[in-house]
Amino acid sequence: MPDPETPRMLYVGFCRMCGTGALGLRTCGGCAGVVVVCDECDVAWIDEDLSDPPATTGSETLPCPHCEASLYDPPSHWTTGDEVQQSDWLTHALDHNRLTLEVGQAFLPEANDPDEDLDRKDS
Amino acid sequence: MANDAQKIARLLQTLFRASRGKMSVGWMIALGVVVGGYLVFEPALEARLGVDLPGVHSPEEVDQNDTGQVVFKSDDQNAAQQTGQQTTKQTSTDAKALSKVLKEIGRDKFVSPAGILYTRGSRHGTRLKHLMAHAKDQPNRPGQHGVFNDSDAATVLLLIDEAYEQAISGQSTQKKTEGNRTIYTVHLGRTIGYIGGQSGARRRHPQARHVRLVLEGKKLITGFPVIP
Repeated sequence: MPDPETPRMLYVGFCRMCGTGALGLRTCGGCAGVVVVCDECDVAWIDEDLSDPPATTGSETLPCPHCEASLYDPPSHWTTGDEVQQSDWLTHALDHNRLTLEVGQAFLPEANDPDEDLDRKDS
Repeated sequence: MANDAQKIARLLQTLFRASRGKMSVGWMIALGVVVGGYLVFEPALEARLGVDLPGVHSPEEVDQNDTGQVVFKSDDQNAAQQTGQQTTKQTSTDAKALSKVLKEIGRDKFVSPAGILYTRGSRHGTRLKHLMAHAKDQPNRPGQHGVFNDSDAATVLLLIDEAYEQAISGQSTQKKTEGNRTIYTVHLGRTIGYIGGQSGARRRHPQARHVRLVLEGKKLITGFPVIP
């Protein structure tokens, strides 16, 4: 079980591109669309066709494939269980066993490191 | 001595005992020469073929720190421990504090000696912070999380440079491209980290001799130890 104080992420497998990152479900803060994002190498897919080339890749930002809002920055966030139910493509993929939903801990950004937060407040 | 080497020694002993009286001295000497030659050339074979062969080349010791976390000690760390020296680590992920390794070429844009660009990016904020998040284990992360043995930022940056230069030369490297991404898996011929995360913990943190680099042009997206 993930630590409740660390980011909880719903994920649907692992990234074929980098071979490591969990494929997390991310809700775009701009258009509220749910996309699949690798939490290691920053690529995004718009649906369950994960063997297709990713819709967007990110080097300095990771733009939403639908509206180009940043998928890194708030209000973008890891998708909640309620948002899964509201996503047509996702419920369809889950109902037809094309994806399996799991819960885990996202790759921790250092921004969540309490020591670093204190450093920022001091400066 | 590594487990692999012990197995080889035991196998040789068994072979010699079984062949006593059946095999001529000449054949026994030839067998010894073949095995000795393999052990001598095994590191070079590994580097050339990009595979992990059994042998006597694993000097790293496995230890546990105060929190029970598995720690792999390198030769340098062992030597420092034996002489009572303390190794100073620069764990800072502030690129400006790494001016001996990174050159600032723009706002939040740095270049390494090998020409790799470190920019803003990822949910960590910068690619350097993302890279250095691989300097410690994240035991609850799903799947595998490659962890560098050394947590010194400058050392990790130079390791990434070494892997990049080896990748460009094509030596012991697997290359994959998709769109604007290039993914290199580079066999460095020595243990450079281990596999952590949930998957690594289940496998008792196996040692890694490969680095995977994900690049967009010369921009580093991520890099981490991996077992291909």
